[in-house]
Amino acid sequence: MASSAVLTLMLLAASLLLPWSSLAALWGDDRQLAWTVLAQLRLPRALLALTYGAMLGASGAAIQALFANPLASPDLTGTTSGAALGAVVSAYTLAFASPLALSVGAVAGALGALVLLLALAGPRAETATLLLAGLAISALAGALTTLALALAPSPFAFYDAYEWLMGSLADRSLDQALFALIPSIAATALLLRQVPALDSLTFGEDAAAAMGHDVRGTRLWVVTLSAVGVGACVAICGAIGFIGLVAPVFARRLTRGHAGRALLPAAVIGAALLLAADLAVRTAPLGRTLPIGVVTAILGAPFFLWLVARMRWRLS
Amino acid sequence: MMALARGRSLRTERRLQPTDLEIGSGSLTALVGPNGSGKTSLLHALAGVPPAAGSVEVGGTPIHGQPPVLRQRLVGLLTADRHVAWPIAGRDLLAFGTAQQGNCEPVVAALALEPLLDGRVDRLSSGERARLLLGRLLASDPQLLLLDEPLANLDPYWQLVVMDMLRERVASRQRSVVLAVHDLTTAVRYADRLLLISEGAIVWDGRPTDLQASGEADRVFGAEWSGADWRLNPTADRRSSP
Repeated sequence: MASSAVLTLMLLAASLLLPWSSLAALWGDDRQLAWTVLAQLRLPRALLALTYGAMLGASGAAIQALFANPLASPDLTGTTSGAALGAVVSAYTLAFASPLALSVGAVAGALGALVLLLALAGPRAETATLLLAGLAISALAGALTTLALALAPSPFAFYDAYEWLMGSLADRSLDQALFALIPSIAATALLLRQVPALDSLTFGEDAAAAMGHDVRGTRLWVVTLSAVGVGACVAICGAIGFIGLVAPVFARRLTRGHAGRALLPAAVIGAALLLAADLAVRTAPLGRTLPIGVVTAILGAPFFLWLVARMRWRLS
Repeated sequence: MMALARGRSLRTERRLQPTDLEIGSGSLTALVGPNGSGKTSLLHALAGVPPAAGSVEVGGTPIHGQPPVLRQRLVGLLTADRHVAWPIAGRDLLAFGTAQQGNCEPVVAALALEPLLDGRVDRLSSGERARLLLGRLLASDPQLLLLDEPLANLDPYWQLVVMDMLRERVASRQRSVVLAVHDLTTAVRYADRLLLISEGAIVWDGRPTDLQASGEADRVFGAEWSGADWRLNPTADRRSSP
């Protein structure tokens, strides 16, 4: 846990200061420009990577503990696609494009997706049911997002939204970043209060209730807080996948398999993963920047396949 | 005998009819009844598990609204579902929610749990996992122990050990045990009191040895109970009833 926190801090420093020449520039001739770059470009970007990653990790861990399933995560349950749909509808159909309106739209979309998932798959869904329901919700949200963009009055809607939907941390102002930051920090902090109840769900809902935990309340909190935190991040940075799936898997190694208390480590690891992915995007010698969502998906999807394969080996 | 636990208007929508129940301090009560008669529902209602409603007091303290640490000192439930969702270590399972670590050692010795402690629970057999889950509950030592089929998955040796342990808790520590069992022989042999449940209501309540004479078991189960063994009763076969 401590080592992953140190790693995250190192990545944060690297994210702010790389390339190293910029460090020298802070005290060089053009120091005003260098400080402006640091404060207005790098700082919001690093803070967004930190909070979005942490939020994905924490909500991924909470959703996995809630469903008692290591294959649940905000993106696989359709939460992120729901949030993207909500934000697109808010911006292009209703023409409310302020950060606040985008956030409200995205949170509503994420909440809708999670409630639909609970209704479709039930609280103790089998892996197959959970993934199929999540897939169906993602597909539906994706199709509705395309529809909303196709019907949008602006001819540039597709191009605009495409870049944003792929997920990007670049060129966000500090003000915009705060719209993701504040809800995420609040949601993560409140999610931590659910840790004992989430841990006790290891023994099933009835046993958890007999231990004195309010299981229905926990379910409500996890769904709402995940939707608020992830929705707010999606509104600012678009959909970034797989961090919410991967981070809790590593976090549970630190908590000896306990799913609930993996929440905080998962937040730290999620932050480290997204900071690392953003550093990779920024420093990759490709001549142009890749959307960060593409990078996390390229690295995360094989990991997901490996998880599925490992589950199959265990069952057989 | 002093009452340890009082349950008032315990009920669930589907299975359990409104029931008032007192459990004596230092007693072992067996719930018996046909499949689907409401044994599990009654146990869950006593443990305060939703969707069951009603109020439960243990030693004069209502269990509802107690913080988990206090609640687990009052009442402990072993559910019929012995699935453990995450691959935690046996040691962590045993100590889960147990405030005092010291309580684990006698249970570890009595149930021979030592070899199960370092491995992951998903790699244990269902019988080994059942012993660990039971061990956890005994280590947390609640005043009222509610056990749903505690002998399921256990071989005869462990069945005897577990029942002896439960009797010892009842006798020496004045704990109360309520267990749902489908095996009437076990119920008669170990219980101080037997509750026969049919269609969500307690239809017979008394000393296990009096059950045969009452004829209630024959009527409820649709088979003849000799006091030690069962025989199908051709005149009251449940398959022929609507």
